[in-house]
Amino acid sequence: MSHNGITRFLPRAEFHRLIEALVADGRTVIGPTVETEAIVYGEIKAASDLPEGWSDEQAPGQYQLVPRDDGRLFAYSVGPTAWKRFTFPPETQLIEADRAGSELTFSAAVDEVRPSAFIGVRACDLAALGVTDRVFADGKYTDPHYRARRLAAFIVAVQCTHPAQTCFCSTMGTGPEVEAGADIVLTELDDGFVATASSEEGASFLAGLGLQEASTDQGDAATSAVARARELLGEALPFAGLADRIGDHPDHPRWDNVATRCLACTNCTLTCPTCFCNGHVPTSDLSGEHTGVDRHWNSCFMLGFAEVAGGNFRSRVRDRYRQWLTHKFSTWFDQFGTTGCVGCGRCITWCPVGIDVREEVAAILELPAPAAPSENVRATDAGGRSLAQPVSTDGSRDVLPPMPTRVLGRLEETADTVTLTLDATVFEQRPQAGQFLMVSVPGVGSPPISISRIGADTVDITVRGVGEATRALCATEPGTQVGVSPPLGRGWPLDAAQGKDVLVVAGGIGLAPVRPIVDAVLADRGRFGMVHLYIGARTPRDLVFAAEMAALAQREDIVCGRAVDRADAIWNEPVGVVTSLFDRASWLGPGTVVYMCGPEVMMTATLHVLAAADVRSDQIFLTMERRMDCGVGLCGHCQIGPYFVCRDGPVFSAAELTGVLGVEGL
Amino acid sequence: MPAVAELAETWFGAGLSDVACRRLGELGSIRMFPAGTTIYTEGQSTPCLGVVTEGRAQFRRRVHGRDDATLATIERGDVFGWTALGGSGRAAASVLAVTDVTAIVVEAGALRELLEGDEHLAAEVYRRLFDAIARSVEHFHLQLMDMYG
Repeated sequence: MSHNGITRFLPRAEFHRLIEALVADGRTVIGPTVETEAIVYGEIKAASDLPEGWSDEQAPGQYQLVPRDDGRLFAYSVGPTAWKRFTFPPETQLIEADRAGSELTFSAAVDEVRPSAFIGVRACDLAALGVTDRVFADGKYTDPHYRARRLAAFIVAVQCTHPAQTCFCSTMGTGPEVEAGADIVLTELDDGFVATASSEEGASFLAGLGLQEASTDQGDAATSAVARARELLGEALPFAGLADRIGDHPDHPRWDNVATRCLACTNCTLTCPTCFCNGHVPTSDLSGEHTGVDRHWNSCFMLGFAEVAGGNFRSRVRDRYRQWLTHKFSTWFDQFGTTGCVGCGRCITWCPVGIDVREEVAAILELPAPAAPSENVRATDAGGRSLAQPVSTDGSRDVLPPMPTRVLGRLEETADTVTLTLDATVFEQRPQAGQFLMVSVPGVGSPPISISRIGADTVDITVRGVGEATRALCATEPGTQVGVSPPLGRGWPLDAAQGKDVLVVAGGIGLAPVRPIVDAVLADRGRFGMVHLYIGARTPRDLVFAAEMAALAQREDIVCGRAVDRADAIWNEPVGVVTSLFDRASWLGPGTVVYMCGPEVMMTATLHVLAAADVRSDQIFLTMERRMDCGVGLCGHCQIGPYFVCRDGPVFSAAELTGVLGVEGL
Repeated sequence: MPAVAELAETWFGAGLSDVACRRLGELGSIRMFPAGTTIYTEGQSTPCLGVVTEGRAQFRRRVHGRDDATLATIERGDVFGWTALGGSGRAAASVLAVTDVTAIVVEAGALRELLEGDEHLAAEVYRRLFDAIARSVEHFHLQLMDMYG
């Protein structure tokens, strides 16, 4: 653990020197302090701000400060504050936008980050920082605000010697011993601290304090103190294979049981050191000329978190609790290669009704007798590296502000749906069929909109005005500007259909995302076998691209069919669900590749028809809808099972969505 | 026998044996219904079973206080008028030709007599009818869920 062999002893009476040195280094020092009858993290200006002589007692739904008479500074477990408050603040301004007439400018909001020092970081919280590093700073897209704050932080870890009843770091493999990720590691003894350096910067800093080398006895006492903490934690819970097992019980009655107790108050997610779900909130001055986008903490327990136009994917508490727990212990591995739970126990202590996540997991898994600790999941095993490794600084791309681009054309498709043609010369790379754009209307919102046509220097987007932002987009006139992200997401795999029959199925506005695949197939018609396009809509008036589809129906190289739910007096085409158009088709079979977009219920019904016709699930591609706030996998909104729709999709194969699509509340 | 040949080429007829298709076709006749024709009216008797060979018709039901609801569309190979063979003998839904429709129609009494006289034929025809009716009912369910669910 020690770096360059430096192991020193810092007498408690001299602890103030450490703080003074950090301040002298130009750092804002953040550490534990007593506030509102709890030990929270806040700015520490002097050693006297630390919780000297305080400990705590924690249990499910209970927290109490307890005085002690030995003058120790760190004799307690973690409190309600998580360090994410300082790396990922509850509110951050992300983007500023200015409008002058029809011209827009966007800029990244300036986040002045001062050098900081985090004092008193426990092993579990250090692991949590490693987890959030992977979320915000280790993917294809990264958050520059997080990275700046993370890189600016000098970490002084303090070994845990007083675990609470609610702690289970040893089960999750994150503690109690600090293993990596700190600059300095302290272990508190009766009269001071054994200090070891864990980084070059930490070694340099420790050397500057001019401390004496720790004695062998002091070193042994430090080792014993942490070992004692491990004993206090007790036997690790039998969570072996948890990641694979917890997701196998989507309908376990325990989800209903816990829903009767859970208040959906969001305390667990607010205190959790790894929960990162957030929402983007548009801001505006009164004139509407200076606007912006703020990021606020959000929670998957909030009713509106999974809300989209026309519905809510997780309206029930059972679904939200299941989402939270399975994300922590299972799908986090799929997304980030590690567990999302570090075993700090905050969610247990600060749950107002005392729901203990350990008990919920055990009940769902119907656990047998505890297994040996060595069989337990270790967070550090995932991905073959330490959770708490330093944040990456390269190989990924910062999320950039929107780019202004001009609306070149506007076509009213239906009473509430408009196709806008945008200048696409702003994009570095040509969009792919199936990708989407985050389209910003400053001060109103930035909805994700599928690209409905890819031109030489233009893209079309087809927007149904169902919310404030989409209605504002629909009202946009040619000549004005909107903001756009680069084309995002995984598009349609056209090559999969090479030499095969193609079936395209669309429901309602779902025709927009599949139109580029129809364009691409028809542009290179000889590469494919038979091509069928089937469209469903509520009423004839809701059919988009009506004239274009009528023209397609006249072609001999594509078979088109349409069905509506409610016919009008002159409709003489089929009425019914779209599957009625091809459920008896003899040409459907293993040689067919399917591209599909529509309401989830329509796609689920279509999959049944296709399965009955022996169409392979890895040759069926569909584009998913979930709420997207960021578009790049950093806000958590669009999760479905192991995926973020924006980052991993929106196009998936049906094989990838096995066990996911059609599961209520997922 | 043009009805036999026509029937054999539909989805419904293709699922019957040659013998069953022939005996059913021999009993039927080809009828034309111009677009806009109400072939059956909801609640009224259904004297014949029909198999569409060309064109498109809709099943419609009255919904109190609203316009008629279209439950499904039937096309080549689909059947209508199955209540002729059982139940009340009255149409559960109206059948409206939305394009010119050609159908093979079989008089219910004659068909019942044919089937009651040949158990093997009855089993085969009723099984095929069950397939066709099940598909229509499935569409009714989906459509109703889509409209009102």
